[in-house]
Amino acid sequence: MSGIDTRVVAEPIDPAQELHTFLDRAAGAGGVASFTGVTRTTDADGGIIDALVLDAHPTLTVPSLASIATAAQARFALSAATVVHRSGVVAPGAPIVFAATAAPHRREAIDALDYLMDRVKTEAVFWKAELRGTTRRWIAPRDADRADRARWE
Amino acid sequence: MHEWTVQLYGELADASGPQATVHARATVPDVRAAVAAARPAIADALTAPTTRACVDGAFVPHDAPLAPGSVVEFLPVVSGG
Repeated sequence: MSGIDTRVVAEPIDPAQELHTFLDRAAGAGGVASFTGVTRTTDADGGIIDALVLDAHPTLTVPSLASIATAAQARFALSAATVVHRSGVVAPGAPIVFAATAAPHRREAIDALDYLMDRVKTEAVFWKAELRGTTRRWIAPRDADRADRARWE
Repeated sequence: MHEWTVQLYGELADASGPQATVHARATVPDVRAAVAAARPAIADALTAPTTRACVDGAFVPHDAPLAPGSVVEFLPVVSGG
């Protein structure tokens, strides 16, 4: 089996299990690349945060991930791609996103993963806040995220 | 005038929760103005040009008309994943 698999989950992500499942789906590919994003313990200024809060849309968020993964598949001739993203309250140190790509050769798999994550970081339909106590600070993509995204235009 | 239950996301939902019920004429700008009046704390964010309206699951222009019973949502700029 192959193709696109995108999910938003409220429960903890198990990257090892996700990779195991993806390797089964990617059977026959010559290269598989994966990425796990982990919630940082500090904000951009070094301040300690208690958690990240991710607000997702019930009908737009998964299609936004699927659209990005489908574009990656078309651009890099992937045989399979997956994005699993957390919603809700995510503790520091916990996985927030798992992404994987499979292609005939390693270069396409690695480049596609880089492309896919640059787009997820700037375009996926999430609203993200840093939580300190009961205070939330809503955050936008950084200039560096937008610059990373612009590399692919 | 119609009653609208409006869904809010991100910082728009922070002040008073993700749903607002307002009475307004059947256009997006009228509903947006009614929510802004009911929730002054988010009025600036709600009326920002970057805050998009979504009606019955699809993005619509800022001045779109509404049909009675439409599901209206306001979405601030996304954070990305």
